[in-house]
Amino acid sequence: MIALNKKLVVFGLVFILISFLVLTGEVTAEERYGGSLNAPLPYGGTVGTLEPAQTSRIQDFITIGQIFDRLVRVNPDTLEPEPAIAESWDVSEDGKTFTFYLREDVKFHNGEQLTAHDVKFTFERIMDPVEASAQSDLLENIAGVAEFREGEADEITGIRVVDDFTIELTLQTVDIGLLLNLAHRGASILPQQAVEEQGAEFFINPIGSGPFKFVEWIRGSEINLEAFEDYYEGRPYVDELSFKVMPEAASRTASFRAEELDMDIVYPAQFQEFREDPHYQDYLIDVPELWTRNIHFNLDIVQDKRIRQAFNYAIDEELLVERLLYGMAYPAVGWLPTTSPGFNPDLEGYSYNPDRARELMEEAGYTPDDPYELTVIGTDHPAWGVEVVEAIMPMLADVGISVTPELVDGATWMNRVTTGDFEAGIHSWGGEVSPAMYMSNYFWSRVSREAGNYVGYSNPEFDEYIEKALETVDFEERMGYVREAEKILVDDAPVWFFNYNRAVAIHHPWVHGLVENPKEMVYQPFKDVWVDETSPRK
Amino acid sequence: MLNLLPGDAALLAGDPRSARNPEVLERMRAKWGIDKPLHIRYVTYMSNLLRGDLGMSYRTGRTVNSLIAQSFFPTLQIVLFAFLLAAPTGVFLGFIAAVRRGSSLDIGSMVFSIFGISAPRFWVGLMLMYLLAVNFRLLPATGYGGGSIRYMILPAVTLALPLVALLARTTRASLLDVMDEDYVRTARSKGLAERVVQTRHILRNAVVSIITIAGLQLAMLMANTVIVEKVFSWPGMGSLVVDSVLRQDIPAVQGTIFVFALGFILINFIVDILYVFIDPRIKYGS
Repeated sequence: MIALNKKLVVFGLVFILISFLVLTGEVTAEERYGGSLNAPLPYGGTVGTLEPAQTSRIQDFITIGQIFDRLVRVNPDTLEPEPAIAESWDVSEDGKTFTFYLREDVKFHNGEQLTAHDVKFTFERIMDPVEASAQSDLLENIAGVAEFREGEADEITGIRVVDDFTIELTLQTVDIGLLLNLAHRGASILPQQAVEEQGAEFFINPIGSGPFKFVEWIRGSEINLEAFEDYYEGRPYVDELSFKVMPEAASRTASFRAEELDMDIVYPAQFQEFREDPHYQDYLIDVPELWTRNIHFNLDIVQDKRIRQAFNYAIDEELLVERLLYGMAYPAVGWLPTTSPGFNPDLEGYSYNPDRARELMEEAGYTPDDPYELTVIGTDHPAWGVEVVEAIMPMLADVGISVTPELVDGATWMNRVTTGDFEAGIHSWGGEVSPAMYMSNYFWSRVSREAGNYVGYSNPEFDEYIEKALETVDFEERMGYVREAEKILVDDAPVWFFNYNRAVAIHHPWVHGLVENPKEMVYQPFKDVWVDETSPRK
Repeated sequence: MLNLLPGDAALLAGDPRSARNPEVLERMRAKWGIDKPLHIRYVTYMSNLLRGDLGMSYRTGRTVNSLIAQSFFPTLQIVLFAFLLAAPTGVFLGFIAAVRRGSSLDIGSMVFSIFGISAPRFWVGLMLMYLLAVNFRLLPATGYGGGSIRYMILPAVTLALPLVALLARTTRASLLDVMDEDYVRTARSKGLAERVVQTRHILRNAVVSIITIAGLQLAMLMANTVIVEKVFSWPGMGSLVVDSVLRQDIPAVQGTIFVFALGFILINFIVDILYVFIDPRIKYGS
């Protein structure tokens, strides 16, 4: 008995000691400086350019966002603008003049101070017709842009330097999107002096005011950055940040498993594997991204609303998501994803209801024996390409819609939808933070077909709400209009609402501080990410 | 030809958002000169080309010459390394198989070569990666590593494998052809040692066809870098051409293909010259 008790006591002590160690271990797991982080650039090919206003590719913006900084940024949780270089701002009563107060401690990597003059220089460079910037529409609404572009004025009158740390932007019309545009990585602030001295060469060896300094760029392979000690929000945790160009999902997985990558973006085939792997399943993070996968109808051809509604009723989205996409999507209700600030939890979409679909098709004059014929163009994308169309064909045939899939490449898809040369197509649209713009970009009748209203949607009632939303500064009121507009849109069913993308990332246990960013999972705040001692690159 | 494809580099360059503003696209097209008719673009391109100027890449803001200058050396590195691995190995395997015809060595090396020829390169690359980099952690899985040998091994072996296989088969076949020739029988009946017969008489006579295949395949290696560089994140011309095609960066595509074509011509030229040294029966001119 005594011996047993002794054993128990020893066991008890050891147990307490171990739990103490484990607990304190967790408690003391504080942010740690040092080490390096290897992250992938997963989207198709190498970085094209590091000139912020001359690209539209996420691949390029991932890197640009670390080297450069903007006046404001978007908070990944609230999706609202928050201070960055500008510590605060005022809006005039008419909503057209924004005054930004810049921080006085912002330095470029060469030690020069960032001032309002750099901001003005950057914005005028973006709007310079000679540069023909891909991102010039971000600032299109600033007063005086047209005169500047035509060469009638040397400067943009709507951009006024009040003093070294105050800048005023005057708009032509009220625009709820301005702050989001300024938060776009394309509007990153450049150092005037260095850019003027070096010209185009500047962007081979760029200098910004962001948390990481540029070190080297091996085109097609990697981009290496190091921590900027004088970053105004304090230096990043890691000493080095290396981006590896890895478009092949299978090579990325191998590299991640070989512990060469600290994190990775996961595709459906890998998701299944990691989800069942006890070693990794706790290190998956996921979020519904702001992308709505859909089949869009050319409304000149699919004119009958009943057919479009029947299409929506006929398909079991949950089954598709589970079986075809391995659970890597959230079935869509309406147009706005669940992470959008305008998401309406009370919205009634189209549940799976084949009987209702058959009724609608019969009213429209079609039966499974005499079906409505429709060709759907799509790319080979596994989650929103012809594979999906092939999977839904039997469900649609059951209600009287006979679908023919047609495989095209991305450029052809773009060409055909912008010219209206299609009956229906399948794609993924979105990426916009503002809910009003997430809808107006594709469905506002004032947007031309070439410019985004590919379906040719036009409903005066919808337009009225969306125009009100675009002009309303008050957030709650604006969301009210957005919800009304979405209800009309869902009823009209210009698209089949398929799913919202479920973005999944995986990381090794030693990586901390990654966030679930619905705008784009790879837009991580790398300055806040840190690695602990168990990292092979500590 | 690329100019005639559907699609529009400007549309691909812009956000869907900037596509809302056709003027933005117009300005981009004007900057790149793709607003001009095709024949004018062709004349401009050819006249620049004659001066050694491959033009300005649309999507990178860099000249095509500088893009190629950056990516040429890494490609040359793995192509040469792969070739140096493949040529001796392939010829050796083929030689062994031929002189030991019908033995298990022969069957083994031919099974290996059928596998080598038919296995898709990206699959071989991934398998090597999993075996050597993930399971045994002997080599880095991907990356350039400043061009060091450690990083070069996996992509080069992947690239070399089909060539080893092809050379082994070619060597075996041409050696077997030569073996039945009269002069081989004569050499043997002269009482020459079997080693001498094999190397001086058989291999020497078979080498012309081996060199031809090797030369052609060296050129094919360049083309195959397109896949291998992508899988291993190797920063060469293969990656450059894929990226440029995907972005419809026409000047960059044309420039890279042009350099590949020059490489083809150069290698064939070298092979033709080599014939003269190897086979005294081949003479050029009168």
